[in-house]
Amino acid sequence: MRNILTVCLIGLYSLAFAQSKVWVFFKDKPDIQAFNPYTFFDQKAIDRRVKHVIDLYDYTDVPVSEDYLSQVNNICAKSRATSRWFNALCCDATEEQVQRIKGLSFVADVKTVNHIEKYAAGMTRSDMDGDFEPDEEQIELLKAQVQRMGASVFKDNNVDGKGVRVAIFDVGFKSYRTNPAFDHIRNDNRIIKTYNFVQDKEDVENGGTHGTFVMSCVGGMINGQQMGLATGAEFLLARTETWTEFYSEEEHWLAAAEWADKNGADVINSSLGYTFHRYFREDMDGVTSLVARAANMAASKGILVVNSAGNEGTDRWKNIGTPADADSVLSIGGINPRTGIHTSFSSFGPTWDKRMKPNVTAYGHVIGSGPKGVSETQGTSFSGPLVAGFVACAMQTRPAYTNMKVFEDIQKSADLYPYFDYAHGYGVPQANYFFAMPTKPRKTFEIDVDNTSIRIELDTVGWADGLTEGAHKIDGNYVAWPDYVFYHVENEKGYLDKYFVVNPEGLSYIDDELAGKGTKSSSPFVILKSAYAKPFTLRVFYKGYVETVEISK
Amino acid sequence: MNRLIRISTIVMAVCLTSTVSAQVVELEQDVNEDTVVSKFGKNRKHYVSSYFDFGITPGQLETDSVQLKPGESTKFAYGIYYKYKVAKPYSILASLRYSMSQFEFETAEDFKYNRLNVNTVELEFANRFNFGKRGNTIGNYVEIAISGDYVTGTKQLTKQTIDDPSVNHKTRKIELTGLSYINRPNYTAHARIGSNKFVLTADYRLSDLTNENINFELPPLTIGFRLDFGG
Repeated sequence: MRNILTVCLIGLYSLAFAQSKVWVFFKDKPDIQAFNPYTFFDQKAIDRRVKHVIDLYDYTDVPVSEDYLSQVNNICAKSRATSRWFNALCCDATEEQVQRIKGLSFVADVKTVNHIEKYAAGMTRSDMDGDFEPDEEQIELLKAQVQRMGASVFKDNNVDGKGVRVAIFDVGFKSYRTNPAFDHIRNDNRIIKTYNFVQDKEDVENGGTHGTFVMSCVGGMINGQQMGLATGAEFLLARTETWTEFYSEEEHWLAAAEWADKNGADVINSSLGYTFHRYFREDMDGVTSLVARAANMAASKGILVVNSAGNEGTDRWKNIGTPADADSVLSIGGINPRTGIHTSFSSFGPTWDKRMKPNVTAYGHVIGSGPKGVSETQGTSFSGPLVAGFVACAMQTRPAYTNMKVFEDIQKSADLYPYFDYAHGYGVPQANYFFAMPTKPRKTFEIDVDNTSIRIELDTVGWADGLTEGAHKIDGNYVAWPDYVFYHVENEKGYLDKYFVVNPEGLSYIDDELAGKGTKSSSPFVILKSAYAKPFTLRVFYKGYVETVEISK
Repeated sequence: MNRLIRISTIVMAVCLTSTVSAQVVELEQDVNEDTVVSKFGKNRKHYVSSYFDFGITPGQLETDSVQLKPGESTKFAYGIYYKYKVAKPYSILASLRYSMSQFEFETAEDFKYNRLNVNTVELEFANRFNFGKRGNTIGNYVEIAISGDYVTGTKQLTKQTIDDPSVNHKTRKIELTGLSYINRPNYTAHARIGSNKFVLTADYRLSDLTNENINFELPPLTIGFRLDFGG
């Protein structure tokens, strides 16, 4: 009997202390003299570096020494990825192998990471089946998802992301070779390269359909109707996730980012994120995770990284994941086209160090195209690519701008700006901004401050009568914020304590029963000063007009 | 003066409550509530969860007079535990559970079954050693524990087929409870390896379950799995 117990314990012990995944960081790059950026990079990658005034011989771009890789690979059980940016190799190794690797003279450090703790901002699905002939309701939402960002303005100015290269990292792109939503892209040979980082091959068809839906929201087109705005862009497709859309590996993301950089990507769209499996909420500071540092590194190479905020809005986690927490990542939240405001599942900001995230928002309920046809689906996985398409168009209009200048302009173009909150960021980016100076909005409310309270008197002219149908209606109706009052309270440290969206009419756009039957109140909003620690700043948005009030101690 | 202001504020608030009743708050977020570091969680200072155990007794009796049916003796348990994180890789746990063990004996052909049920309440103290980087999850771990067990109920059941035309029943069931040959207090060592919800378990009873009133001792080892509902 004791023998059985011993065998069991040995078995348990060996399971516990088997191989683990490690990153091996090297001290230097001895091959630096042999590095030739003109043969290493795609021409677009060189052009991007020149535009961003980045040294073509930047140390971080020099590949990892083949000799170092060879020596470590001889010790490791299995090699997983290399990173020229971090001068490192990821591999599987036992504790004994780790000790041997540490003994190599050129190894700076070895860090252990876990195998399975990862989570992607995957979509939640409503209907994956369908037809490539969208019905009327689908067409309506399809038009609205791009028109909400000003598709017609881009179209009128012949802007479709032409000349901009978008890399999409996802779980798989099933049917991308045959899907009619990408006919216009394939016909022009604008799928430049593909790579499957999970299986180390070029085929990215297997793995799932999520990437297909995402790609359709970046630049798909069905029956002449845009699904995303960047219908003229070029594409790099990378499979980075290992199982379903919910599981992935950070090193694949890093490897794909370096690959995208080398192959001339201007924009990276990533609809994945890591949350509680690997991190605590206090790790969402934009510097702790490897993938956040990789995203920031990609941004430092001139790439604009667009990442979905995540779908944890109703979960215990609630906040954005990483790399959406990274400073240089344009993080995208989701809005519900039927209510016009934040959709419940979209993760909230701010970052743990209280930086504003998400940066902007787009529809989180969209019509996408999958292997079986077009269908409605939801998730911030699709808000991200809608904005990635917008980014490509914005870049086309601003060819001389750096990625971070475009980043800034996209925030400024958003329709809540300069108002913001941690559910909507600066709002939904607007194409108008890139073609004309914004006009000064009409004053839509008055703020009166007395000793105890702040009164906001709304201009009720133009209140709509009973918007009984979806807020995304475009034919004669609604592709903008509902006439709601947005206000936030900012503390003296510069971040928000509270924020609100209030329907002044007392009508819920989502509730057909009530719509048009409620009492329209012309009563002022009153905010009691005593409800907040002074000093604070109150900022109010209503119908495009923003006003700020400073309340002193 | 201050009193006047306070009264005015209250009156105003009451009035406003009625006048703004038509306004609907569609979204309200308190950022400070969302940014409090919790002390409770799977990988925080304190954590409470429940679990279900299932195991089998692979051993055999050390006597020739009676044997167990191989693989048919089982143990079910349901318990709750409290985990206190001492350091990143080390936690201590206290657990209380109720378990039901059933030992199935080999029988003669005319017996349908001969089984012994032992129900116990177990109080356990455990050391958990985590390995691997993890966020707010249970993660991967090895656990070593010892429990004090108290037998709350015993029952021996037999069912015999009667092949006698002179009696008007075909089977005979016998249930014996309050068995004097079972020791009530016991203690058991436990070893576990777990990954979040899923745990492999091995329990080894260190004390004798039976006493001098019977001539065999029941196998001390149980191996099985645990489903941690909080994992």
